[in-house]
Amino acid sequence: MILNSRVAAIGVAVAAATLLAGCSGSASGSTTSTAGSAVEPLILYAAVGWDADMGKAFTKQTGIPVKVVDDSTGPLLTKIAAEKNNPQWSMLWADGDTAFASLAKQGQLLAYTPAASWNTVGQAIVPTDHTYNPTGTTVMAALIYNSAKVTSVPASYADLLGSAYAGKVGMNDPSQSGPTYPFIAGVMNQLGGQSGGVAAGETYFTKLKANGLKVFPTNGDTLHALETGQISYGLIQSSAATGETIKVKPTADYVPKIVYLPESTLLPSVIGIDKAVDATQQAEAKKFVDFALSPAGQKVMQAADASGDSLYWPVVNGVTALPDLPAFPAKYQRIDPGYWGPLQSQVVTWFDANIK
Amino acid sequence: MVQRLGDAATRMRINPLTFFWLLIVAILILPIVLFLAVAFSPRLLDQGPEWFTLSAFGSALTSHLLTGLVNSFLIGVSTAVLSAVIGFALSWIVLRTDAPARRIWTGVVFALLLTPSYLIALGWERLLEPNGVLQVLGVDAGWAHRIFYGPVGIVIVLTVKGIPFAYLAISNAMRGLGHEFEDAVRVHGGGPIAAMRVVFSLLGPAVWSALAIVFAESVSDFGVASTLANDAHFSVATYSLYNAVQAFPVNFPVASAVSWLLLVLVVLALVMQGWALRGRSFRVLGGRTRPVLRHQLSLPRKVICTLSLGLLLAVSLGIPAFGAVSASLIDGLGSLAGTHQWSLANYQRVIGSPALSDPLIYSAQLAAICATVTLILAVVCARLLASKGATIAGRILDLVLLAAVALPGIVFAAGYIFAYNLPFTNALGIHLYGTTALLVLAYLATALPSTSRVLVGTMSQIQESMSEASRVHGSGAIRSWLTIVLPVIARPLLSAWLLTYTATLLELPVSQLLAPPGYQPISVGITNTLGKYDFGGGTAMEVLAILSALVVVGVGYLLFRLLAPAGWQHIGRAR
Amino acid sequence: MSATQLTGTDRRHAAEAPSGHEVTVRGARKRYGAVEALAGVDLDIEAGRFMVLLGPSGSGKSTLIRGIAGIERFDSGSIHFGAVPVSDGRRSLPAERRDLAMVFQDYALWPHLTVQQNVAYALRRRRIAAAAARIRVLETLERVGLAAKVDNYPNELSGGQQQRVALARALVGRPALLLFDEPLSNLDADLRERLRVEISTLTRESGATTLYITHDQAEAFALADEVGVLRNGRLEQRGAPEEIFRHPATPFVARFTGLAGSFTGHSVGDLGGYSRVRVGEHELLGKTTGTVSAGTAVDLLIRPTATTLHETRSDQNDVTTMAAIVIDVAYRGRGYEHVVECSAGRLAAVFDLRAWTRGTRCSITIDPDGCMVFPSGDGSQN
Repeated sequence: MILNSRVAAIGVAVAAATLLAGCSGSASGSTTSTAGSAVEPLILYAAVGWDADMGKAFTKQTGIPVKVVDDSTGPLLTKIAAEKNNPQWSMLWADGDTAFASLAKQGQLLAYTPAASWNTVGQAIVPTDHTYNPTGTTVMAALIYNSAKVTSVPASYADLLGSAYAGKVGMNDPSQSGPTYPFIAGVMNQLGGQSGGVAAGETYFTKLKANGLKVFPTNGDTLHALETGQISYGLIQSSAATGETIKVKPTADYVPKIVYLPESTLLPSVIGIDKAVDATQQAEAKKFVDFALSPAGQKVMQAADASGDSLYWPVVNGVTALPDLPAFPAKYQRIDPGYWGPLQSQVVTWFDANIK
Repeated sequence: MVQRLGDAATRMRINPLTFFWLLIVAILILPIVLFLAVAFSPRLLDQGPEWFTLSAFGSALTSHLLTGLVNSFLIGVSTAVLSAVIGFALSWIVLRTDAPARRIWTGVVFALLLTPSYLIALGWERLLEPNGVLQVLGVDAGWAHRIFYGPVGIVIVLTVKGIPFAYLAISNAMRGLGHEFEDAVRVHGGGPIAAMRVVFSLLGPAVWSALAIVFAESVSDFGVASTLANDAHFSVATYSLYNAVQAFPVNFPVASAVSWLLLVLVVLALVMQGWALRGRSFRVLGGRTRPVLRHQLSLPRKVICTLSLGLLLAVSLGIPAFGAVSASLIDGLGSLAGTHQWSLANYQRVIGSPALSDPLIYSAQLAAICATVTLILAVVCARLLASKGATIAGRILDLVLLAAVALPGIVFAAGYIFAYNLPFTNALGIHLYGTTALLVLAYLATALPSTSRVLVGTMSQIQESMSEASRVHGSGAIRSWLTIVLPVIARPLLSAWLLTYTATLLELPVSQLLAPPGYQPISVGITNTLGKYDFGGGTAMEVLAILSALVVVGVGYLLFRLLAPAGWQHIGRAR
Repeated sequence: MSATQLTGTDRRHAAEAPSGHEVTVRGARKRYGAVEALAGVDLDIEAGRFMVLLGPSGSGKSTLIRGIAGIERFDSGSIHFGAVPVSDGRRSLPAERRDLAMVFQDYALWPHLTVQQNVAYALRRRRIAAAAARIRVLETLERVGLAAKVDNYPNELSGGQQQRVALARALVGRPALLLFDEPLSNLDADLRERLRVEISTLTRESGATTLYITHDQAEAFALADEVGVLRNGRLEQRGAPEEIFRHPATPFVARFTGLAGSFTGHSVGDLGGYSRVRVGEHELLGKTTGTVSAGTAVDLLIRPTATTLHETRSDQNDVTTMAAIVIDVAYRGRGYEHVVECSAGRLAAVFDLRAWTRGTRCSITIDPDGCMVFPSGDGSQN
């Protein structure tokens, strides 16, 4: 060991040197902050299709730089939870308000009331304490079906338990698809309410499974199953369903159509500001929220991903949805994130064990 | 002629390995320990009100989890054994026989390593699903679908992912193993199979390295299991962990409690390894090693060999390639049953786009830095792991390295945030979290276990006397290492570098949690594209990233062939 | 080597009359866990001498030579080469700066270098011009009979050839100290003998001090100017081969350097440097180093050279002649070696020019000068 331990030590030293040399170049860009100046970069954690475009547009308008961490909702929330003792994010922008309600409850969100004028749907979503704000909404679930193969169209969730739909219905797996838990919670809320809890909903999904419900990992897989005839009805997020009708040219075998069963559960895109950032960033973040709700900001959001995330219904007056979207479903509900959020783990585990 | 003792550098009072251990503590032990501590003390990192509690274990220990643990263990063992057997057979065929087409396998192995399990699963899905390719062709694949979507499918996919580690570890060691051992068996009346068995046991350290690493990788898997076991009610231990981390509010204490249980599985694996290798010496690589003769296979054997290799190729690469084709060359969601058009539109769209090029260049740079640093550290680790007798340091290192693999990437990365986003280090002016430097450190920690293990077989074969002879004949420690040890292990080192490069290029969980704001690694870019239902674009990006890495592998071996001195290439060459 | 071939550099080196290190080791100690490999060894080797350390496995000889080479460090103790301190308890000159060379038991050739490159490696520290170095390498390889193999790789050579490469590598740099770690133990008998002669002549030509370790006493006596016997990490005895053979200091040394056998008996009195030992009804003489008081239980250790076979002479009543029976006979080329059984015990390697058939009754006489007497239970069972 005499002979080689020194070689080892030198090896390690070389390794460290390489590491430092290699990283200093790339690291310097991200660590040199504009300390002392009036402008601080905003760190936007986002899982929405327009996040990069919005960052650029906002910087262009205000001169405030925005660094976007563009990722799926799951990893972003994991990051935020792991950073809890020393938060590094300025804003979070993602689909679904349950996580935001939970963050607000833990005192991590800064209350802000933007100047925007909410439409009816918007008013239903905005929390009374304004700890977060919606920027648009989709619903869960849209029922997309292949009208070339089937003629029966359900009018309610109860209809799906009938023999006409046996073995033909598919949905996503809540342990892998973010928007699916709000759907399950929505059905539970509709059937049992907050007083009745999960029991009625569990009964419903158990019956649905007995009628041949198939579970696929995510929206894309459920749509693929629909295209290939494994199912004829798919319960997926409204934006993904609408996107499918835009992207796919109808053929003799495949003509996708969408209905909204009462009641549709709102699944809004929500933005929240980190309470832990300094006053400068708080002020900048408020500007960002105002920009997102302004006609100019909404225009950027609608242009970014016209066959995907941009297919949302506006929550502020004066903005119209993209023309491909149908009218907003007449019957919709907002589930209380403060009640349903904490039940997620329990419900998903139940679903995993009993329905999948 | 003898220089005076006074001239000689006074020996360092502190152990020269101290720095190495500091680094290991920083990049591996600290994040893991902090994450594990959360199970008992959520308050420590603001994850709950209690300073000490056992409630996380109470919530984690359900019958669901216990079933999952057993399943994970079984999956891990089957996958490890299968991978080691296939990896050994493959090494044998490539290095010891004149089987046709044996030269392509090194390339194939790297392709396997790069292939995301998402593509493997997708390929099988497109093949077996109702109205899938087989059914369109008139083959009833229903039974295969039922079999594949369950434990069998999980084992197949994880084995395909495990084969590269097993092959690289075992073939590196087999290259250094002379022919005399086989000859000894043959003259004592053993047939070819008996000879193979002796070689297999002489390669003990490499084989057990492979077993342990594949076991740990399989135990920490969640993606494959959750995709393929959807219908089969087959839950694995990581399910509870992901459920705790992905739901909101994120429950780190429960995830940490599950991690403890995963560690128990790893300790089991290490105990088995220690028991199997107890006190044996495997030093066979030196100047006296006899050159290897290739077995001349008879025609029927050649045919069998070729068919088996062909089958392996089809299962391991053909099917994911098919998945990639169906997703990236065909419009829409890639169903072959419809009237979809074949086109290169997805590639045209992606190639010119900065959404591909910027992240790919960024990731390639990080992967190259990471591979270089990892290689140096892995050599030190492999030496410690290979050192004769079980030293305490070696055992601790072994445990830490495997623990890092057995903990799913997402909790490992969360441990990094815990460790490097502490308010008091920020107060000291150290801002590592959110920098590329920390991302590289985490990549390093992720890559180190497998790279070290791939090198253990080689390092345990080096005869000490070779470098001692060099010292005695006038070369200093560094020159001895560079002129004697380095040439002898040059080829395994190159393999290990390329392995690390390719594995790091497409690393996902750590990239997701630790990428600095404003920079996007290619894996995150691909995942986001897929997540927005752009299957064609995402898969095209994926295929292009894989191709870029295969080019690097090809260039690496080509340069070795062209530039390495003849003697370096002489090591392990068969006649 | 003809003088005309020498370059300037080479000549300068040749001019430094190759003088070996004088090696002094004091109080060398080394432990491996619970095992004490060296228990305080003092060793002096005069410059230019050929010293062989003889000892069974586990006697510490490998540890000692590796310590002198600088591959391992002693826990305590010092090494000097001449007046130069090479190692003491705290500091140690690394191996590459000790100006020595070593031949290893497993040869330790480098598999990625050709024969010529392997040998040339040892010349690096000499900073000799490439052309001159090449000449010297080829010359050395010629001396060991490998001129035809210069471009082969080690694994293309036979075991004997490989060890010759190792020998050439050690000699080429003309080091001041040559170390041999059981270099012949992996070779067959014929090669062993030939290579032993080469080692003996070539090292003496080089003028270097040589330290050679082995467990084979024949090898040790054949090679050495001086032999040291190691046992349990201690130097038991040192001296010229003849001295060691004729006057072993301890029963261990006597046994390890070759016995026909030993008898137990008790002393019945001294007789001018000899002790009279009663063994059964016989009375034998053996050399003794001190005085052995009458009545002491003793071991009589008998060298093979001290035994002579005779026809049975039953009429004679000589107490120094013992009746025996031939158990086994082995042809040894120049004669026969026998194993014989007598009442006091069994003797092996009893030489005679003619063969005695197995089962023959005979008499055996024992030369007092080939017998050593030690008190029994001297802690010396080998």
